[in-house]
Amino acid sequence: MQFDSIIFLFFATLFFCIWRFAKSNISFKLIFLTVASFLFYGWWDWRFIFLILFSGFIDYFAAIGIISYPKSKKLLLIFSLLANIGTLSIFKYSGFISENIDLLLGTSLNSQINNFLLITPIGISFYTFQSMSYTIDVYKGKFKPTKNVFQFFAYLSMFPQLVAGPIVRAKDMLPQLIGQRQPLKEDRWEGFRLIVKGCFKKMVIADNLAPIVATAFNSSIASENSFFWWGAVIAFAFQIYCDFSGYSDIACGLARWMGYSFPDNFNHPYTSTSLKDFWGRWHISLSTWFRDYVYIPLGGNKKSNYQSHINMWITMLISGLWHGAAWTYIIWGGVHALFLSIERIVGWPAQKQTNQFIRFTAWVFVILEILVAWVFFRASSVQQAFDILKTMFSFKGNMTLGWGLNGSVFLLIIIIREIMVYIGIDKKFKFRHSIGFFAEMLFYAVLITLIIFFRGSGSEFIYFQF
Amino acid sequence: MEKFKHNIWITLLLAIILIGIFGYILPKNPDKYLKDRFWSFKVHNSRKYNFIILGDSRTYRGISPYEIENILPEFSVFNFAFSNGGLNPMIYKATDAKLNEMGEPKIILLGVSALTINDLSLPNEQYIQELTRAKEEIFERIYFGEYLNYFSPVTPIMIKDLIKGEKMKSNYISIYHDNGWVESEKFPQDTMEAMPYYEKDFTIHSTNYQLVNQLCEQIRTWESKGIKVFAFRPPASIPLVALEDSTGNYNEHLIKQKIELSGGHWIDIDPTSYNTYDGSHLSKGEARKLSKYIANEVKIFLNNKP
Repeated sequence: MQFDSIIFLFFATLFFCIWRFAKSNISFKLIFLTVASFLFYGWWDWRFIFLILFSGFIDYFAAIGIISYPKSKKLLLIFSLLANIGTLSIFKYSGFISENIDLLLGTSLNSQINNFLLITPIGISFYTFQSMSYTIDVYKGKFKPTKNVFQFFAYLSMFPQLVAGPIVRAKDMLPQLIGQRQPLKEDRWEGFRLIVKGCFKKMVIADNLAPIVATAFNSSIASENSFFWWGAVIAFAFQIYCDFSGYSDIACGLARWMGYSFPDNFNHPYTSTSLKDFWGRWHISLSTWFRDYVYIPLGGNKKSNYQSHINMWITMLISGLWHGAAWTYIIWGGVHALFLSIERIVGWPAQKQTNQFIRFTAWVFVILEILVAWVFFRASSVQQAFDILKTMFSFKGNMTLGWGLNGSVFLLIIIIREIMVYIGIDKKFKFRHSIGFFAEMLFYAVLITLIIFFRGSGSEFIYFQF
Repeated sequence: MEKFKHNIWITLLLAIILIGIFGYILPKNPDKYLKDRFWSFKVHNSRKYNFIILGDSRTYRGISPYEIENILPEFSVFNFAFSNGGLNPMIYKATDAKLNEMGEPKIILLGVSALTINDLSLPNEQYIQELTRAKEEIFERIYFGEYLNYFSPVTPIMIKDLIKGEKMKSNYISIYHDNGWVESEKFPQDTMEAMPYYEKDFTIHSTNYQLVNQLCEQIRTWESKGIKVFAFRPPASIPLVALEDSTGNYNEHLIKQKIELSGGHWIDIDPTSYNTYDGSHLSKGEARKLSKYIANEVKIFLNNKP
């Protein structure tokens, strides 16, 4: 079920009508939320519900086992990790692994894999990571596991964040689930604002940029015009940002309406003046997950400087692989690792704030780094990525984008919005202080109208595939 | 706290007013929702038929099930042709699923153009796109399309034209029927319009005779099950027929021979008897004329059957 579909509108309306009554009874609330979430997921393909149940039950029992049998806790943790990573490997990476084995050894493993295993279940990386972090945190003694199976599955499968995050931590979410907190009117208004903003980003900006990006990257005859490719890559950078942050906004808004609070997942990442800063603003819940469960356990930056670089490279390469089963994603992680290493060596973040000119120069460099990395992320092959980069940096051809008015308008809207954030003038437009409350309502009414009439041709949220 | 009391409702009310105004002012494209509904219905409707027509756009625009049903009232006819619709196992399987299991006789009519038996149409992209469409989108397209048309999206270019006072120009009329036929008309007619597209396609992909053999194999299977198979070459302009023969490597005589040897029945069509509006597609009047002709040929065959 897509957030931007009519069927979700029905689903959400029905859900919140029942939720009003369900929330006073904790047990009913948890069962209702779990059932509704499974319905939400099963609407896409009910056959994969068993994966959430499988992953969930393993971690539910492993966590209880860790507390009940402290002597075997390491064994239980290893079992949980192997089961989760094993599931992910089978359903997300079996095609990629077998293809590469075939290439290396000349075997034909790939053709023998059952087609069912070659379908990547929507959101598998998200709920598997969420489930794994639950057991790891119980192992580390951060909180006690719940014995209420519905509380656990309500946490794991909660529909607003099930398929594309934000990845929420059990220690933050479990207490909220059994709490009696009623959403205040402010929460409802904030939730409403987030949902409208999220829909605008996804349906108006991302969906209108999608055809431009698809035309450029899917064309069998690649353009040899540098300007065209710079435009296409910038369009993709904003498409993926609006698509994913739009989804996160809607998820956070729905959670607010339910009386819960999700962590912020994006904070204007393209205004970053260092890559370290970028990773503190882009997909924050995943970045912090990798920091806490991969980078720090590897030793973080507490060991030698050399070792900390190695740890960061491992983390970024795994992050790349998490995004997709292809070499292009791994290289994307590698490109970010390379630029992060360079930043650390030259001490970039410390030097950048001296004056506005240096800050601006730093920003230009960071944007260039990010765009180069996005080429690998979006390209269908490593060869295509290098071809595009070669064309981009050859600076040849004419100054035409080939989009016409349609694409340019939407790209311009989001670029202007981010520039406003970068130079700080967005704060001057805070409604409550200057223009007034009615103007704010009118602003959101206009946004809804724009969503209705300027929505692009619908497509799935990009991050569903991860 | 008070200021938050009714603001969601007030915002929604303001939005409804604005949507009402903009829905009235902004230009509409009624063709879009009818087209979306048509293709989703074509693939996802669960009705069964005992006369199914396969082929590409020349067939779904060129064959009207109404005319066939008028002449052969014992049949429920469905035009199951697609844009770049390839005749290959994917579509044969889907056709079997649409055939009425009960009742005899059953007929399959094949519109065999060069495009249906070359590698370009092998993926049956349009069919697959519809087949894999999200359930909710199918639901929306089939049941809500008409109502959602009031809210049909516009583009900045359409707004620019609206401001400049330029009306949307549509010289291509398509009426979408639930039986799979697209009743078409285009003004002005230009019988050379489609030529460059076909020239490009045929240069890369000419007729694949392995696919013809595969089709013949399928005809044998259908005939062995008692399903009668008829085939014809969809008419086109004379230059296009010549292009299809030469660059497209379409040997009508050989294809007819192979189909007949497999148990199928070839219906000869004289391309000079039909006028196209773009060189490859028949307008509604011509489509009716062709459909009547084919239905009569089938009727004659059925009546003469021992």
